[in-house]
Amino acid sequence: MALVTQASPEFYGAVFGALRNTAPRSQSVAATLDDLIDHLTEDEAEQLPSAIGEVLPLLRADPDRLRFAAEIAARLDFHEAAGAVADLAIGISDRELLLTGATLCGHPAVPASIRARVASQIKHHPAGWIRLDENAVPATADQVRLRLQRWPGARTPDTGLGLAPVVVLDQAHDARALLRMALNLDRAGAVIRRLPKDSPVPFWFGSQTVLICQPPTRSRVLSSYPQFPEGQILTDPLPTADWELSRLLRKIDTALPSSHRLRLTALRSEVPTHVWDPEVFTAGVYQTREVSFLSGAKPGILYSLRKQGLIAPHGSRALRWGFATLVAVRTWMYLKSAAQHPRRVSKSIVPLLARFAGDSEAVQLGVTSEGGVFVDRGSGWVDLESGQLTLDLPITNVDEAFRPFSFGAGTTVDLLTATPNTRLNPTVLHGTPYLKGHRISAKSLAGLNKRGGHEAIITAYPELQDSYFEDTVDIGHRLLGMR
Amino acid sequence: MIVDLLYDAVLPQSLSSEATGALRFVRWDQKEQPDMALVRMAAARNYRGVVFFERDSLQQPDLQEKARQAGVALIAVDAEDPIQAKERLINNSSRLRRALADHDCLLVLAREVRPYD
Repeated sequence: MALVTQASPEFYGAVFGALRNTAPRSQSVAATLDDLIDHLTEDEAEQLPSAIGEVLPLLRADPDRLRFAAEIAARLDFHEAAGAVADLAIGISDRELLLTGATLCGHPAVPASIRARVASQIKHHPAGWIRLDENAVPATADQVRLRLQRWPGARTPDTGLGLAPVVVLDQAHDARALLRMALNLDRAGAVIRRLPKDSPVPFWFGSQTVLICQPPTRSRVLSSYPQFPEGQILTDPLPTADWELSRLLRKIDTALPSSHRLRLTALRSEVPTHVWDPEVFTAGVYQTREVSFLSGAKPGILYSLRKQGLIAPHGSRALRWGFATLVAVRTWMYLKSAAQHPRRVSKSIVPLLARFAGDSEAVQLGVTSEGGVFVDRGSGWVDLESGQLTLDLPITNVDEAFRPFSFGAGTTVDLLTATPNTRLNPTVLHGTPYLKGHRISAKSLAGLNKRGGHEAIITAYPELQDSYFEDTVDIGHRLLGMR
Repeated sequence: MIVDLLYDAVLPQSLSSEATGALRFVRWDQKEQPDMALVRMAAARNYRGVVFFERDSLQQPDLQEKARQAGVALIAVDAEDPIQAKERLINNSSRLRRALADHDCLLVLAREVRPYD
C-alpha cells in the first residue's frame, strides 16, 4: 500500500465540489462519488473518508446537502467522519444528523469521547440509542428490525424480516478498489462495514455476513471468531474493471445467506459487463493486427492456428475474428508464458475456448496446460466437455490471462482495461478498444491525432475539451501499428 | 422528404451541421452503449438507419439480422479517419439517399455507395 502523503488543497476542493453539487433528493450515493473516485490517486482515496469529515462544516449553511453528505459517510461506513458529523449535529441541533452520527459512532474505531458526546444527546431516543449501542434493548418490532440491521452479529440463520445483506470490507485492501467495490455493493442494496486493520472482530460482524479480505485478515478473523463460516470469507483481490467487479459481486451474492441477498439487477447497465454472457463472449469483430496486439500472438501464429483448423474467422468476406477467438489465443499465450516448458502447453484449449458459446451462469472459466477447459457456476469447477465436477487439478483462472503478462520481449496490455481511460467490450464499437464513457475508438483518436494532433481531436469531438485521453490515443497508435 | 439517420459518436459532431440536402444526420449523444443500442434508438425514433464508422461494424454478430427485424438500415463508412469519413458521407449524400430506397445495408466509399450484404 502506498504511503499516505498530505492531501493537496485541490483534493479537498474536489471533495467539497462533489458534495456541494449533489442533488440530495434525486441523486444516489454512488452517483455522487463515481466521478470523483475515478480521478483519485491511491493516497487521496485513502484520505477520502477523513476529507469528507473535514469539508462537512463548509456545508453547514445548506442542511439538505449536509445531511446527504453525512448519509454518504454513514452508507460507506466512513467512521473517520464521525467526529465532524457529531459536532455539527450537536452544534446546530439537527436530530436527523444526530441519528447519522449515532450510526457512524457504532463503529468500534470511533474514539470513546466522540461516542460519549453523541450518547449524551440521545439518552432518551431509542432509535439513536440502538444505533449507538449494541446492548440497547429494543421495545418494538421496528426497533428489533433496526437493531438487527445495525448489529448483524445479533442475526441468526433464521432471521428473516427482509433485512439488507451486510458485506464487510477489509481496510487492508487498496483504498481505490475498496471504494469502487463499496459503491457497487451500496448500489446492490448491501450494508457496508469497513474492518480496520488490526481491529478486534466487533459485534457488528456476524456469521450472517460476507467478509472480503486479504489472507492475513482471514487468519485474524478465524482465530478470534472460529465459528465464522469459512465459505463466507472471500480473499479475492478487489478488482477495478467493471466485468471483474460484476464477477466478484456474483460470488459475494452466492456466499451470502439465502435470506439476505444482493439486488444484482440494480447494477445492470446498458453495457453488459459479464464477460462470459453469451451476448458478450460471442460478440466482437477484430482484424488480425488487433488480435495480434491484444493477445500477444504474432499474425503468423494466428495463420498457423487457422491452418490447423483450431480457429476460424468470422464469415467469409474478410479475415476477421471474434472475441472468443481473441480470448482463446490470449489464454493459450498466457499459459505458454507462465509455463516452464511452453511447448508442452496443449493447443486443445484454443478450439474449446474459441467455440465456447458463453454461459450466463458462469462465475469463472478455467483451463489447464494439458488442454482442459472448466467452468465454475458457483459450486466448483466442472469440465466443460464432460460436465463432471473436477477436484484437485491445477486449474488456471482465465481471468489471469486478461491481465498484462510478459512473453518473449513483449508485454500485453490488460485486455479489458488497457489504460485507465481505455476500455474494451465486445458489444461496443464491435469490440475495438475505446475511450471510457464515449463511443469513440482508440484507433479513431489516433487517426485524428496523426492528421492534426490534439486540435483535430477536439475539433471532431468538442465534448472531449476538458477530458484526458492521451493514454487511449497511445493505444490507438499501437493498434494501428504506428508506434 | 427528409430522411433521418442516427450516426455514431465516433463520427465528428460537425457532420450534423455541415450535411445538407435530403439527409438529416443526428449524432448519438449517449455514453458508451452496445452497438445494438443505436439500432434500438433509431427504431424508436423512426429513423431510416444508423451510420457506423468502418465496415467491421456491420459484421458484429446478429446486428444485421436485428436491424432488419427493426426496419432500420445499416450504413458503414470506410475511411482513413473520422474526418475523412464525414467528408465521404457529405460528398455521397445524394447517392446514399437514393441507395437507401433499395437497400438496407450499405457501404460508403470515396466515390460510391455500394450494397453490403
